[in-house]
Amino acid sequence: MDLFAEIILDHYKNPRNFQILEKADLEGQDSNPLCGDKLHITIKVDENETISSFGFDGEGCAISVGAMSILSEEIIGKSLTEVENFENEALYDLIGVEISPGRVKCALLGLSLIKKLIKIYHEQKK
Amino acid sequence: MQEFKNIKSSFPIFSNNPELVFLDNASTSQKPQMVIDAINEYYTKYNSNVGRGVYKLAEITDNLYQSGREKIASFINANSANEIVFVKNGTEAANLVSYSMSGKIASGDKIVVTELEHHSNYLPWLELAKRKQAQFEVIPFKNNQLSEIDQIINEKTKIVAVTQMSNVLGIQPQLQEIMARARDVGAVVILDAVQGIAQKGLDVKAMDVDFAFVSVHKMFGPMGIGFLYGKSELLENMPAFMTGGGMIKELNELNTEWLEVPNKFEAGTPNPAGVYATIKAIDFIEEIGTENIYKHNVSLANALREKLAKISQIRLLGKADTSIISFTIDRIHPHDIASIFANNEISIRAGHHCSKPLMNALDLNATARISFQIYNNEKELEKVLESINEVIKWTSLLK
Ligand SMILES: Cc1ncc(COP(=O)(O)O)c(C=O)c1O
Repeated sequence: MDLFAEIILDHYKNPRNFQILEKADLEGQDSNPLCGDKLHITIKVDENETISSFGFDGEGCAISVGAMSILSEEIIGKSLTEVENFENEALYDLIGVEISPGRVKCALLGLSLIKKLIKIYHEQKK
Repeated sequence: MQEFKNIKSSFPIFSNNPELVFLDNASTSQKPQMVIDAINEYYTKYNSNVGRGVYKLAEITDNLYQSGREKIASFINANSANEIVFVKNGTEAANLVSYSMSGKIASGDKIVVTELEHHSNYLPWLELAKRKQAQFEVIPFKNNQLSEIDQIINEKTKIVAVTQMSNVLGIQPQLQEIMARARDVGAVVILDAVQGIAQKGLDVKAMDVDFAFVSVHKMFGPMGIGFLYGKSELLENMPAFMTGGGMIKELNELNTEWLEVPNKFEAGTPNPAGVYATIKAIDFIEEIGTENIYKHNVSLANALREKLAKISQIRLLGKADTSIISFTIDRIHPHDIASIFANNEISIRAGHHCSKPLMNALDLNATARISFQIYNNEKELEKVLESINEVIKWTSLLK
């Protein structure tokens, strides 16, 4: 696994959308029990459930922060349903480096939390 | 360190992984050939269940199982083999005691643990306190030692749980001080000897602890076997933890009578192969001597610590003269440090090491941890330093 990969390094150094949004429609936190990563996510959607803005903060390793930052750029403008169906492999492709089995949880920390928040959001709307 | 030059060849993991530098020994130790052979020998020559048969193999297994108890009793200086209860690991032992002692704890009583504890000697006591509405207090760890021992352990205290050696820092807290105070107030002391035993030995008589527990996989033995030591009178006065086969004398509909200690605490089919391998693991340790093992590990740790101390970006935790080094490096997560090491076939651990209370006390989420064992050597330190340099190079890209 290549931690030096340009994309990860860039996003780890300067995470995009690294701020918590006020009055978010979806909001939640999660942590990775293995390494103590912490993640706080906020999402705003428009009336069509399209993500209009996304913000996160937290503390973590290069893989978890890098993956979250990369994903954040990808999902703004997408609908919640599209994001719910976003495949893990698609995220690995975006990250561009091979994720060793021991680091899968780090890479997926953000995506899993987002999917969880979307599920809760839809359940509450019912 | 001369005398251990060839010891690596006793561990087949290294001939199968010639490049491997294994520095995650606080997590589990590698196994010498004689331990691995014992498991094979047991299943190929003696396999049968314990305490259930009259035929020859059953007799052999019973004898092996009993001789394991005796071996351990003499290794840890217990009064009798009946003070040794076999379990699957240290975690099970702590849970056993915490459940079986439930009846002795009432609301208003106090249970004390320390900030150095692994979750397995912390959570069972926290849960017991919750079940009984008892007070729960943690002895803080400050300036590399436990503090406020005498204030926190008071007349209300019924149980004190303490580790022989921290799995994060390698530090051995002040057991004597704790014992003295616990004796004053009549509290029972349970010692987590999981990290300590292979390096510092365990003398339950000299320490005078009431209970102690061990996972054999950290002392060159197999996984899936551990033991609990308990003073006879305490074990005899505790009810069974798990119930089932192999632990009962009488059963008439609703009436039960348990077997004597220690069988009372060993419900279900035990692990005689593991016990046989434990005997061999103790043989292995006794051949080298725990003092020599510890001396070797500490001298490697001190040598590395000295080198790491010269690198300004590194924050070293704990103190010298221990066999475990926990550290952090500015601007890089410990998990990423471990990944860079892993790329170079060096196994180190990153995370909270099942020690959240200590992480909170240190104001950290995680550390990188290097822990030594008898098969490590000075040449491996050079490889560690190469990886450290690579990490530092990486962090400089983050500026
Ligand atoms: C100090 C200490 N206590 C207890 C344990 C728990 O051991 P086990 O997981 O084998 O039950 C460990 C293992 O990491 C440890 O280091």
